[in-house]
Amino acid sequence: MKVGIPRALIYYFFEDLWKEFFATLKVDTIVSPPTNKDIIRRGMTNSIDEACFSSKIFLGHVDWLRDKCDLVFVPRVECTGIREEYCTRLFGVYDLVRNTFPDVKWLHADTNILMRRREPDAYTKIGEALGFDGATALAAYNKALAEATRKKQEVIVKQETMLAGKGVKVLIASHAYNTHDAVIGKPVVDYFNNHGINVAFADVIDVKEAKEKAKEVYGKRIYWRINMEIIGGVLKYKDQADGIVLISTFPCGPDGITNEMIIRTVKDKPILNIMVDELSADAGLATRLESFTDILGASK
Amino acid sequence: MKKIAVMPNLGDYNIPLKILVERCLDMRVIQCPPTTKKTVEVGAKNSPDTICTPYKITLGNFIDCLEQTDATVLIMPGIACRLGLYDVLQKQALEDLGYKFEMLVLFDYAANAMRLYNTLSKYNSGLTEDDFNKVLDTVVRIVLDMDELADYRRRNGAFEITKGEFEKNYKAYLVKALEVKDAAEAKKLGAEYKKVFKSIKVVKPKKPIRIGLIGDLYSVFEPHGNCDIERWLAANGVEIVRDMDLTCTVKTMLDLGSLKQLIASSGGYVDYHIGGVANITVSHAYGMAKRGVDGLIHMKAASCSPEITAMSILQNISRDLDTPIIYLTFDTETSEAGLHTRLEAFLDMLNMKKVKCKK
Repeated sequence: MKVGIPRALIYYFFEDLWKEFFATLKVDTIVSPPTNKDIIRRGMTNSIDEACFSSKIFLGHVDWLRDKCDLVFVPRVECTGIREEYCTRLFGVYDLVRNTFPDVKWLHADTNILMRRREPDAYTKIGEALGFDGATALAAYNKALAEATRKKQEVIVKQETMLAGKGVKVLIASHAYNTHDAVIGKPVVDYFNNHGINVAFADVIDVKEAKEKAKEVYGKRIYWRINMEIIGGVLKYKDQADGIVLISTFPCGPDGITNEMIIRTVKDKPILNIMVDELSADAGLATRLESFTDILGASK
Repeated sequence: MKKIAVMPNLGDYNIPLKILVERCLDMRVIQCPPTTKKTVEVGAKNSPDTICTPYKITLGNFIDCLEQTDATVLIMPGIACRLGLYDVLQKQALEDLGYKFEMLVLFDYAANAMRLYNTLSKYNSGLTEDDFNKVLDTVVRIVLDMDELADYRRRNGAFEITKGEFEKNYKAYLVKALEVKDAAEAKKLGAEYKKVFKSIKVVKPKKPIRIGLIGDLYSVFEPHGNCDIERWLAANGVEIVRDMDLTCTVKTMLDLGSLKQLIASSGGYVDYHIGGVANITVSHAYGMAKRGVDGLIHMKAASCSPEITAMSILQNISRDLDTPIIYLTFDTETSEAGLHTRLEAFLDMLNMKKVKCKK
């Protein structure tokens, strides 16, 4: 039994958890490669034109995986707490792939506290679907969760140390599945790294802290978990960074609102707003990054 | 002096909202100036590119209100999806433009009666729960009747003998609805107009072209959000079937049970909530295709993500149940001429399909 994991969308939120979970259960997995031209082409053939670029990429990864494994792992996460909802694209994606690839077998469970489906139950179900008993699956989940939480804490501490240090620092405010995607965010991160600029990520923040930060400015109004982390992170780290880079894919729903919120709230830092779609060209991006780097240098 | 409040144009649903706000709060709600090309332009200019079209138009509405009227309170319904955050960003945008106003959002996060009461009593500490419930009952009654009347009108409007009779009576009902005192009176008024509607003479062909309408809230409810498509269809002799209205939307949002029901009545095409009102779209599309409408029109505002998810699923429904669907996206640049050409072609195709199937 081989489980295929698409390297897109919520993979980037749960990467550590999934790795540890499947490793503990000794389940054979295959993760699709970093996004490349072939995957983008596959994604575009299988999507509606108007869908957001990140979800097109997701479909590309699923298409790449479907003849290389027995089950494709597409869990669904809708809501993990009060005012902690995920984007409709993320929780609609299971029904989307099911309708797009009717022949594929899915490994799937739902997390949505509105329907009283908690995360531990979801992973127990996944374990059971793979032939383990519930207790074993739950133990594997708990172990994986502890490991993932530890790793996340490590990353947060590391970033805080970096931001307290010297050098030019730029804060990237974007969904993890954009920031770390080989086509969308990685070129930007690489550019800054190659030019000796330190890169921090807004969504590297504890969700509770992000909630508190966002509450100070917007009240309790924001109810998208990931965007709350990004906004909270921007508010927490902005004073330590020299500039902010927003990266979103066209046409991202939540970012359409929250990026504008950030731009209208943070008025004392240079902000670069990058929108990526399947037609984006490297040369245009390089020019914009160059001039932004100049601005960062000048404001130092 | 009473505060003057205003809300963006939301089709005929401005009327029940006006009743709700005026009777619960010490405010006078005035009609927003009609949406014009300029409204849309100004709204779009002050909006981010990738936001959905209703944000741009409602922002334009608010700017019109602040420029042309004495309103100081802006009302936004809120609720969920991106609509629930419109007011936060619009407030920032309008303040950046230098306007002074107060923003009132009716449903913050989740829609239910208790939350609405809590919100309203923040603005009027004298509002008792009994009074509120009385007003709410009246409003609910009016919305139910409105939706029933509008549904009858959509099904028969194309075939009335004296043109404009349905419209005239519907408008008259809405004007009278503003004056009703309580739910009982509203019920009486509704019953009266249901009778009036039934007495309007129509000549309906045996098998007219029947088209189902589905789509997102704004594109379905607000005539300006869909280039007044229902009027055009009626003028071209189409019987319109549309189950998507405020009644069913509110039901779905209030009650997880009816969401489960929608999913169960989607023919297995969806297993879960897919965001916004897209579950209504899928379930209604499946239901109407099963009941044998000739075609479906899917309407959405540009970059509405739940409806984009629904489109992938609708394509399967369309193929499996042999029901043509035309997908319309409305944005700030949509022109009526282009739209009508597409619709004409769609009607021609449906007519030909009907003739061919008869043989």
